[in-house]
Amino acid sequence: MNQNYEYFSYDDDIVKKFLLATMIWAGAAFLFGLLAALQLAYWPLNLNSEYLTFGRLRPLHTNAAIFAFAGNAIFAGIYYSTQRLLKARLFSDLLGRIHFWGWQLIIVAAAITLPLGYSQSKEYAELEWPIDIAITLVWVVFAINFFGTIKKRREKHMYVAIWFYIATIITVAVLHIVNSIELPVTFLKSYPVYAGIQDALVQWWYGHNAVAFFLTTPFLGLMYYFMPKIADRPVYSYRLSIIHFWSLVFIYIWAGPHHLLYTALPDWAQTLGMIFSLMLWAPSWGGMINGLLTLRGAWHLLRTDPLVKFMVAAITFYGMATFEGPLLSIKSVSAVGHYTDWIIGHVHSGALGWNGFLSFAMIYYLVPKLWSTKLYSLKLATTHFWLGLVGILLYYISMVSAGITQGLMWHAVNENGKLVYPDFVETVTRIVPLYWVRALGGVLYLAGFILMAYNIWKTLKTAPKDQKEPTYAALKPNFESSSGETTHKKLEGMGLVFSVLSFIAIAVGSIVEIIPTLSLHKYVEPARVTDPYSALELAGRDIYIREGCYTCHSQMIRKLSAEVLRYGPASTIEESMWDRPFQWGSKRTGPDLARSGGKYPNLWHYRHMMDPRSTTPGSIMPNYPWLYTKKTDYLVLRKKLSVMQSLGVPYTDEQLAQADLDAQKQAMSIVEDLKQNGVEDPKLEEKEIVALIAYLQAMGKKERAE
Amino acid sequence: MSDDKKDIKKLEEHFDGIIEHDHPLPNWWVATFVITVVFSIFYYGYYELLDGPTLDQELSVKMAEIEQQQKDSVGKAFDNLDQDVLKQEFIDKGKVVFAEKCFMCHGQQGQGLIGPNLTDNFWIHGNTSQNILHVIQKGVPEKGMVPWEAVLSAEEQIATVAFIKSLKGTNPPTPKAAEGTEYKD
Repeated sequence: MNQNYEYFSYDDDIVKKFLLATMIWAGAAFLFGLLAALQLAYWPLNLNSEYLTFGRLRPLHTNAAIFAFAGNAIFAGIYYSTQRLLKARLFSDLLGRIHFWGWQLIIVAAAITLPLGYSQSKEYAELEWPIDIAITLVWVVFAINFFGTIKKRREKHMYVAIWFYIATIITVAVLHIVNSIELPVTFLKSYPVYAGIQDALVQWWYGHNAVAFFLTTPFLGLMYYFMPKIADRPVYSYRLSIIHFWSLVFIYIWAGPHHLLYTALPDWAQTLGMIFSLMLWAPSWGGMINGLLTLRGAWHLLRTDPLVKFMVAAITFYGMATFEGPLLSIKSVSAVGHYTDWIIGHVHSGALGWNGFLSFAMIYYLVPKLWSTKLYSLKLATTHFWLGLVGILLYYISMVSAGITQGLMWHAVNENGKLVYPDFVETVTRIVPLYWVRALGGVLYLAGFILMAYNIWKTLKTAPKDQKEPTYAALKPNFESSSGETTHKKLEGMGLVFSVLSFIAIAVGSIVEIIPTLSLHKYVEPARVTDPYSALELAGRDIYIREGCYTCHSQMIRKLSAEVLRYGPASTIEESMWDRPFQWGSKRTGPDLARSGGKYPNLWHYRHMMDPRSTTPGSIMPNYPWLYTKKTDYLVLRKKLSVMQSLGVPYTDEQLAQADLDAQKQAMSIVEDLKQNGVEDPKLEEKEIVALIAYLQAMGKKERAE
Repeated sequence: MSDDKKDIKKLEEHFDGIIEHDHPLPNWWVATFVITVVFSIFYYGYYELLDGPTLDQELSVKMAEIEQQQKDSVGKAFDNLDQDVLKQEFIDKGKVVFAEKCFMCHGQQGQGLIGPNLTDNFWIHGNTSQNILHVIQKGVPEKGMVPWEAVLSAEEQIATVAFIKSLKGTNPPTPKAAEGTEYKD
């Protein structure tokens, strides 16, 4: 026996915990998604319930899918593969458990607060400030545990999967912290420090890179470990992995503004967003090539092994989505695709195909290994694959058709210079049948998952009762760099330097894009004075945010002729300069509302929110009966205005002191108008509907030329 | 202890046994990368550094075209308004438009709801065909009447005027109280 051998075991218990959590939250995420899909096809499924209405369910679905399902899958895969790639037990068992239970608590907190309407309305960053802090702390625990493991590794060089994990951990920390800088108003309410175009830019820098560094880079790392393991084949090209890793990490971070094309965001930032998205195409495909060509010489496995089927389909969907992404980032394509269901189809080919299928392959691979048994049924896994695949295809095809159909209808202008489909609702009813097809796709995908859950459960039942952690032995390597190594090989032996370089790679694009807009005044024309919202309008705005109206309505008229014809002059930077958070939205299931103020009388809104179909036949919007019984919180308004004032919104001290009185006065004037038009509802001025009407009537009305 | 060590697996392989080949970069992949980078440099240069049009400029060119089309199309459509509104074919067509777009605010039978009663002798903005057409086209934004110019074709606008005129004196149940000035023809 060589005396230099060190003996150790792996912490596989933590991997098991994260795997089971992945399965549980996957079920929740899929169920919420299916219900949301059915609500769009058949509005009564909003159930007149404040807690399950689409605007609150949609953030619950996206958070569950990204942070609960994909998040737990990432942690399981990273903890399993990192220990083996570095020949070291995790840095700390305790930190692993704090990470696990902390993350599950955050998910539970999200599952409670989002249906209750506590939301910052920033997509994939909806959770309120105490949860934001908890996420930061748990992420730091994860980082310490991960980098601590790198520190005590017995493998000199870090394999490509580890590079992707490093980039993930650093970048997600930066994204989350920068995007979540906010001032608390109450225990579960805050306003972001960013306003208008700043907030839009920071949010979509975050939102886009949540896709990049939470749903792409960690999964590429998992692919680099699990694809060669499952197929038992060598990785295709080491040098390709170097080039595509660094180019991907450097370029991805710039692409966020492609979510904001033709908006009020300054042109230069939009153009950067578009060109970096185009340049991202090849780096993304570098990962796909390395994944798929790992199978060269073993394509027959694709016929026989369901795990290989899942893997190859996942990588293929990754390739499709990363081709479609740059395509959608081209300005003229974005003009048609943005705000439509095309985007929904695009993200689901990524989420269901790439993230979902890769996670499934990983779970099917890991469960028998970790529990020292065999998978209960390969046949069931194959059936799962086909159900899932048909489900994704139905989902994708229906949503792309719906999106392109609706996008073209919105933009159709006839030879008389008029909109061909001036009624927005006409473009909605046209695609409702496709919403049913999408829901059917969701049913199939969920059915496949249920088969998987059954398969895994049966597998676990066959696991031997007493399982010992096996002991391994490895030599402690010599960490000094040897002369024969290339520069990059040397770098792979230096954990800290590698991490610092990754940080620099993502910092460049972030700094270049975000810093200029931090001095917002540079972009604001002094002649266009915009008044801040009155106290009552602000109260109404917070109701708008709470109900997730932004999940279906934009407040951004793009610089496109058809939008100007439909909604009025293009939105300006000044109009949203006090908006915290911005409400530009990303999807138009309903029409844009940027200039809806004054378009209809108060009575119209009063009836519309009670039953949208009474004013707009064919509408698929939910009813909001609770707004007619819940009372506006007038007392908190002084606090709200004072937080806004400290963020630089020009409220006078007098306005602060009078906030609740001013709001009540404005409410009375709206109620008077409603009464004159026949509404009889005692104490109406106390109700939330009045505050919301005040806000809806203020939209697009706050700018005045001086 | 020595017995136990037989079960201990020695980890001699690197990267958990994963082997990395080092195939050269595919040419088509390198070409794709280079083309997108070169295109991007030119694209940014043209639009942001040289004299490429801004989005605002592109929009105003497009809007000027559309406004011209709108002007050209109006032409003589409304020349025979007073005769047209009496024709039954227009009244019938107007009934359809009303049932789609107007009843939410003016009631199924024009008796008034959110908007005013259209069946009585009282008019807020005048009772001539021209007056009614003008309200339909431009709306009354301060009262919540939406402009329909962009939505309805010229023929539909005339038809709607025709139908509204035909409602006079129909005395539907539950009318909204009279608003505006009385016109006794």
